[in-house]
Amino acid sequence: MPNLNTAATAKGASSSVIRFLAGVLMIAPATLVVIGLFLYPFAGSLIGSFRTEAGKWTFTNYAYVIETYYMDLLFTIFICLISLVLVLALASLLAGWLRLKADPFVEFLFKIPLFVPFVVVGHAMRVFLAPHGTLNSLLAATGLFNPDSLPGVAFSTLGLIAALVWKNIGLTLLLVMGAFRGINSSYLEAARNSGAGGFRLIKDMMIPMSWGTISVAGILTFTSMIGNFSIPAMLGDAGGSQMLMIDLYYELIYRQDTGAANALGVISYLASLGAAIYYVKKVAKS
Amino acid sequence: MEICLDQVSKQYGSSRGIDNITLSLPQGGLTAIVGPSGCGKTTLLRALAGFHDIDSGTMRFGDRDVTRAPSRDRGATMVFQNYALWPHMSVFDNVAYGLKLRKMSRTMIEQKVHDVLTRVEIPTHDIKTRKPQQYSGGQQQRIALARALVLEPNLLLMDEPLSNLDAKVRSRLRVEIRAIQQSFGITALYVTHDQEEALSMADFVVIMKDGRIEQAGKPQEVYYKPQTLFAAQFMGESHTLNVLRDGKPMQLVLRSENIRLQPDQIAAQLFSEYPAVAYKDGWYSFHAEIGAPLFIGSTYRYMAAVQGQTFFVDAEELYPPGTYLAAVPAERAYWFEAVFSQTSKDNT
Repeated sequence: MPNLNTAATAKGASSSVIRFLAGVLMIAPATLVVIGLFLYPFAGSLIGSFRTEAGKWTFTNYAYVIETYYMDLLFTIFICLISLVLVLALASLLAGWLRLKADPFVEFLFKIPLFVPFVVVGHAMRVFLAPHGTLNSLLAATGLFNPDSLPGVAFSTLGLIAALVWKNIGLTLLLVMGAFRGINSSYLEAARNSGAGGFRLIKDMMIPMSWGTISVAGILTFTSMIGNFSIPAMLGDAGGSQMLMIDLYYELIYRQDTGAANALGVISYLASLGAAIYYVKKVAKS
Repeated sequence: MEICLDQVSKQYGSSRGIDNITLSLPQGGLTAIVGPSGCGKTTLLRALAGFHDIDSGTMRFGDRDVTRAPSRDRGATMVFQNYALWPHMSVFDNVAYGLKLRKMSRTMIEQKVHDVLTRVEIPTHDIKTRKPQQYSGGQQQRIALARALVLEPNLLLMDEPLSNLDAKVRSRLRVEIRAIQQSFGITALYVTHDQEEALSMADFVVIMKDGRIEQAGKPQEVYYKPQTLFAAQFMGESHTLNVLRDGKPMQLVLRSENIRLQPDQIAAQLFSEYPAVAYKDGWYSFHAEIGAPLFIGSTYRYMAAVQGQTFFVDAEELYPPGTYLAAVPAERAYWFEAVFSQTSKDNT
């Protein structure tokens, strides 16, 4: 009997080693990608943000960046939050409407921005919303408006928000619609039967039942907006505050202050960190 | 309130959902629609609920024409097969939802929700904290029933509400649902594919096939006096035999529990392709081969065969295998014009 036990233990040990190795092998590609493409550059950025150009440890980069750009940081978060709320509200309403009445054309229309690069969106909005852009020209052509008195939305906060919302609605809609379509019809029928109209079905049933997906979509959108460069570069408000990525670009290219650029990078990372933690928790839960 | 359907049709693509249904539901009674899958029973129910428009015909609730009325304006509430209790809301919120949409006062809502849940025997002390999925299947269906009843509907619709439950819970809930429906005095329409459920619960049974009504009547009526071959075959443990009666090919539908066996040593003589059925003193009889019995609890079930056509006989006595005279009382033998023919038999 003892012999048998030893053999069984040895066998158990070797099979658990194999299982451990197989497990490591399975997570290796994803882990390596995260380490190579995310952790390594981030570590570099983090270290760089605490160093002077001479290589000394310092807090001056943060002191400089916070002093110079704290308004821009607030402006960036403000723009991203407003755009996020708009994107989520629009996408939820649209996805709800599409869930109730399948309309392939409208669905296609709102998926277009998925395939349009940021820089093209920026340029399109510039042309469309400029002081004498397409929108204002069309409005002026009706004869009801004086082209010179119409505001140029493009280079204002509003233009920035419009571009970010349009660009991000495709992905959000795709995610939210997936969740809405997964809802069993009998839940919605039971609600209709209880007296709920279309808007109530979306607000009381679809959104709460898909809250996990909507928040995940929100976080992806939020981080993508914070890290976006092309749209603010083409539309960014010339007079007032800037988006953080423009500041980063300025520090890196014009001032060639890599320490400050790194500090800005770390700050923007921290701004989306809370969202990211929430996302990871949600993913782990589901 | 009287619920009437007049020549209601609804087509899905090329296949008919329901075809020219005219029906009026007895007031305060429970009507069961029974039929095989795809017979249109659920389509009819959903048309009444207002979940889809009908192609033609009219539906009236009392004096009101509701044919084009949206679901929420009909006062026809539904209990779903999968309960469809909203998982993100507490039991209280589930039941209160419809009342909130009707802008009722908070105290009124509280009172109504507690009343209705008490009547379906759900304890109300923790309904604001518990979610429906924390209850058993039978309880969930009672909550769903409460959600439908709290709105005081003109018509209660039930779409196979017991089919997700196990046999024991199902047979208990049958009695409970029936009692609840009667205590509320509400007109109800109950869809099921289970004939026993239909017969035991309903005041009025409608048998449907291929989108049409085959027969409608009191449970005893549709069970004992089937008017069509399908109605006869669908109800009970029924078997159809192709036989000759007075030399004429006929279809005989009989039910296992109605067949009496008498020992008969003379082997059936073959005079024709189909077994001949004789009539004497109110009984129809024919020779049949009986196999070994299966004990099914209350009776024994015998596999019987007559010239290659098989059927079951249920009897309390134990018979050894052999040839017997199988006899059916005339009022329990259902005869229909034969759809088989000499030529079709030759071809097979």
